[in-house]
This record gives sequence, structure tokens and C-alpha cells, in this order.
Amino acid sequence: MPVSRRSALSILGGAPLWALPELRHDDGVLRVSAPGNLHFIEGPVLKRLQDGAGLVFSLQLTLSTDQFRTVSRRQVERFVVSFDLWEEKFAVTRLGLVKQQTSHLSRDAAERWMFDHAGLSLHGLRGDSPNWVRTELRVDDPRDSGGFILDPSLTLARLVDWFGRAPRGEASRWAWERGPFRLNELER
Amino acid sequence: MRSSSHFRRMVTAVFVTGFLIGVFSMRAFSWNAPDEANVNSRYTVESVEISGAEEEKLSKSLREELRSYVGKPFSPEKFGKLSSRVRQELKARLVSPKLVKGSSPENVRVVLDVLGQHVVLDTKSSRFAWHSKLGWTGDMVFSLHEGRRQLLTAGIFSDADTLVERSAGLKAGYRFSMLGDRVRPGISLSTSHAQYDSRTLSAAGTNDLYRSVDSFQPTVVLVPFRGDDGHELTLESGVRLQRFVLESPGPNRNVASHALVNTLRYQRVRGDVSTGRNVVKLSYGLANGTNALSSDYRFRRQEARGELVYQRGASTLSFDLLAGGLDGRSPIRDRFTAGTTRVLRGWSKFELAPLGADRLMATSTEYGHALKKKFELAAFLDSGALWNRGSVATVRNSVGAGLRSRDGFYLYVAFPLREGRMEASVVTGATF
Repeated sequence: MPVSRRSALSILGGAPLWALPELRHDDGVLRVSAPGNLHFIEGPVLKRLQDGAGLVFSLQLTLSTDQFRTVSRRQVERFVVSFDLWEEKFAVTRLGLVKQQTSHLSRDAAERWMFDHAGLSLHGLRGDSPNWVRTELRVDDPRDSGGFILDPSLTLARLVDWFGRAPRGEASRWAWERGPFRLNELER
Repeated sequence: MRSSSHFRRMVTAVFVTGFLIGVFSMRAFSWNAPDEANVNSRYTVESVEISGAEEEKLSKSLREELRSYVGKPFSPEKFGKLSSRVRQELKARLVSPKLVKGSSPENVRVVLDVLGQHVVLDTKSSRFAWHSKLGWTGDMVFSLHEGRRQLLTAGIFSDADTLVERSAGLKAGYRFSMLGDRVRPGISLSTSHAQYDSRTLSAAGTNDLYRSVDSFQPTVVLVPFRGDDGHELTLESGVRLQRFVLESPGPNRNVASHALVNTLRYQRVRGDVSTGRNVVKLSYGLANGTNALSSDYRFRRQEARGELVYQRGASTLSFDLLAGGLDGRSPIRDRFTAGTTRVLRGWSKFELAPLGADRLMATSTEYGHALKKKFELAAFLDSGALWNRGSVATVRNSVGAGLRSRDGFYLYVAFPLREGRMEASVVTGATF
């Protein structure tokens, strides 16, 4: 990919450094592809899906022109991933006003589908300015409900309970940064 | 000046009410997945099983509800909520629902995996109340439970509602269970100081009032009978040791009030809301201040309470009865009061008996109708009499209406029924 200079980092200390995510210009939208050697549906996450849970993945893309001192674009997409118990295939639903759904996917295909359905609008941005993009992915943690759902009502007792819990583990968060790159140099 | 005071009260009432409604109606930011987003929601539930705990420990109504999902499509949302309820009832650390393949394709089994004892910090015994004629009451109690095994509580309170005086201080307690939760020894202790309304001060002799009190109460709760759904009979027995510092300037300012305390409690819950659910709670308490414990007071205080609740669909009808009798010479804090946020609402306790009284009989009949979500409209009729032995009991009534929520919030406007001018009281608050 024709990018003049690139840097990448795993934001989370101790996390492995994956291959860099690929960027492409898709009809006015910046798409990020999942790093080739990264599988985030594995380990405890995969086990919970195989137990019938529907897990919500949040994928956030952030674009900056000054190495994240300021943010010029930000987009969050939320996906529900579930594992069909009998067919042993994955299904993914993109949440939002316009829902999109797919099923009968392999694990790799489910992971790719989420990245393919997240993007940042590039409308109004200059093509020759340097940009940086940060990609953050996390599995929202429904804790005691085992992934089925969180009881959404809020009480003081629940708040005390909530704040008394251990912080989220790093196994369910991933992040990458990429840049600087110029929009007019991106593959289309 | 008077109108300014009324205005301030109204502003306070509006603020407090708004705050409480806000706290109790807000919903956490939710990232819940809708049912249809989980591909397994197309399968039919073949069975619902509990693993890691005895199903019999769940209430009958919850067991029946679990069974009612058999044969229906799997709903992640419903089973998520059920898991939370199972976790609460079993006081488990975690309840993890799992799906496994059923005996035939298109069927799944739901297994609720119960893990560990839950150590929970909660504030369930706390309450906040505001009465336009009495002021505010706050009782913040933090409870640390380890399942049903141990309970440690600590709290801070300023109570202008329950007693004749405003009592403010600190309290703590510890209780553990043994022999299959049939025996629960525990202690509670508190230290507080008292503040008196001017009407109490003008009615009292100096010997009646105290400045501060330290209390220590070791008791044992015995459970001779336990059935389904919290159906339980308990007897709590022990001693209450109290040391008062009196207001009087004399040399003998420290006095003791030690009493044997016994309370018998019974509760039963039957049915479910759709077909008719009734709750019965009864209690009888007897405190004997006796010289055998080197007490400076000799008295016998009896208090009986009954609460009947019938709930069907959107309607709830409840009836409460409170009766008490006090004989002998006791500290002022053992005397009965009415005209509070719970008894004879609408009246002021200082108007009825600024020093309290030694006889009380009060009832409350309340009807509630559920609105959308968790709020209810309620209307009530309170009746009762508060008098001293040898004097004539005068029955007083009050009516009121308001809004309450299942989470514990309430806001009532109550009117004392009497001749002459009608002055409403606003009673609001929340239990947590």
C-alpha cells in the first residue's frame, strides 16, 4: 500500500504487536481492515459465544490530523456476534438505525465482516494533509448475565455493586494506530 | 415571613421530588443486544436447569417462572433478567447462563450456572424521607453480605421521623448464620445524640429528656419454621443495653435502661401477581426493662404489627395495623409516636403528642394502581389514636394520594381530617 511513512503501536501495554491494519478509500469512506494475524473471537470470548451468549463488539475509528491532539472524525459501530449452537456458525448484526445482519459465517469471516461494515466519512477532508487513524475494538462486558443481557435498570445498590467490581481485563480490548498517511495516497 | 417559609418548603419539596424521581427513573446506558440479534433466539427452550446450587433454594414463584419458559423461543433478554434474579435470591457471586444443544435440533437447554458466594455491598436498608411538618430524615446503611452467611452493617443516621426526638448518630452491626441458617447470632450497637422540638421541650420535665445514648444489643434469631418463598417464622431474643446521658444538670446524669427484648416475626407470600399474590407479615415485640439487669427504668413495652398486601395485575391493596402499649417508667425513646411519614400521615407528631404516648393503635389502608413502567398512583386512608393510659383515646383520620415506584420512591400529599382549616402535608422519600 502506498503510504509514505507509517507507524503502528499496540496501545495496550503488553499486548502483542499485530500486523498493521490495511486502509482503503471506499467511495468517500475510510475503511480499515482487521490485521491479518489478529483473531479477537478466541479464548474466553469464543467460549462465551459457544455458551450461547450474544456479545456486543464496539469498533471505534478515530481520525486526527495532528497525532490525536485533536480529533477530526470519530465513528463508533456496535455489532452483536452470536454463535449458532446447532449449525456451529457465527452470525453478526450491526446495531443502529439501519440494522444489517449476516449469518452462517466462519470465525474469520465474522471478524472481517465487522471491519468491512465500519468506516469514517472523509467528506470535506483534504487529500494531501497527513492523517492518523486509531482503531479500537472492545467486547462490552455484560458480566454476571453471562453475555445474554444486562438488566438495564439502575439503582443505588447496583451502582455500588458496579463500581465495586474488578476492572475489565485487557483480553477484551484491542487498539492500533496508523499514520501519518495522506488520503489521496490510499488504495481505492 | 410565614409565606417565605412555605415557599422554601415548596421549593425543597419540588427539588427533592425531582431528584428522587430522576434517580429512580433513570436507566443506565445500555449496550444490551436485542433478542433477534442472537441467532439462538430461533431455537425453542427444551429445559431450564440450575447448576451449582439447589433449585429448591429458589422461591416458588421464580421456579415456576423458570419452568414457564420451556417450550417457548429462547429469549436472551428474559434469561438475562432471570439470571440476575437467581443471583439475587441465591446471593451468588455469579450466575452464568449457558446454552447447550437439546435432545433434537431446534431445541436448546438453558443451564444457569451458579458460582460462589456473592460478597455484596449494598444500601438496601437505607432510606431518605422528608415530611413538610417534620423535616428530613436520612438513614444511610451500608451492608456487606457474604451470601447468607455473614452480614456486616455500618451506618449514619439523622432521624426526625420515628422517635419523639431527632436522633442522630452512628450505628453498626454484625450477624452470622449457623446450622443451616436456622440460628443467627448477632450484635448491634449505636451511639446517638438527641435534639428536641420546642413543643417537646415545653411539654417535658427535664428528667424526661436525654442528651445522648449508647446502645448495645446482642441477640439471637432462631428460625423454627421455614417454607417456600420466604415463608418463615423467626424469634429474635436478646438484651438491649442502653446508657443515657440526661439533660438534667444534677449529679446523677448517667442512667441505664436495660431490657430483655423478644420479637416474634412471621411472613408468608402466596401466589403471583397475574392471578393474585398476597403477602402477610406479622410481628410482635416485647421489651422488658427490669431491675435484674440493673436498669434504672422498669417497664414493659409491647408492639404488634401486621401488614397484608394483595396484588393482582396492576392493582395493589394493602392494610397495615400497628398497636402498642407501654407500662411502667421508660426512656422517652420507647414511647410511641404517630403523625410521621408512616403512621397517620398528614398529621404532625408534635401536634398529636409532643412527648409521645404510651398507647397507640393505627391502621392504614392503601390502594395502588400501576402506571406504565414502574410507577404507581396510590391513595390511602390512615386512622389511629395515640393516647396515654387513663386518658380518652381520640381517633384521628387522614387521607392522601400520590405517586410511588416499585424501587421505593414515594411522594404523597396527605390531609388530616378535622374541623376547621385543612393544611396538607407533603411526604416524600425513598427506600434504597
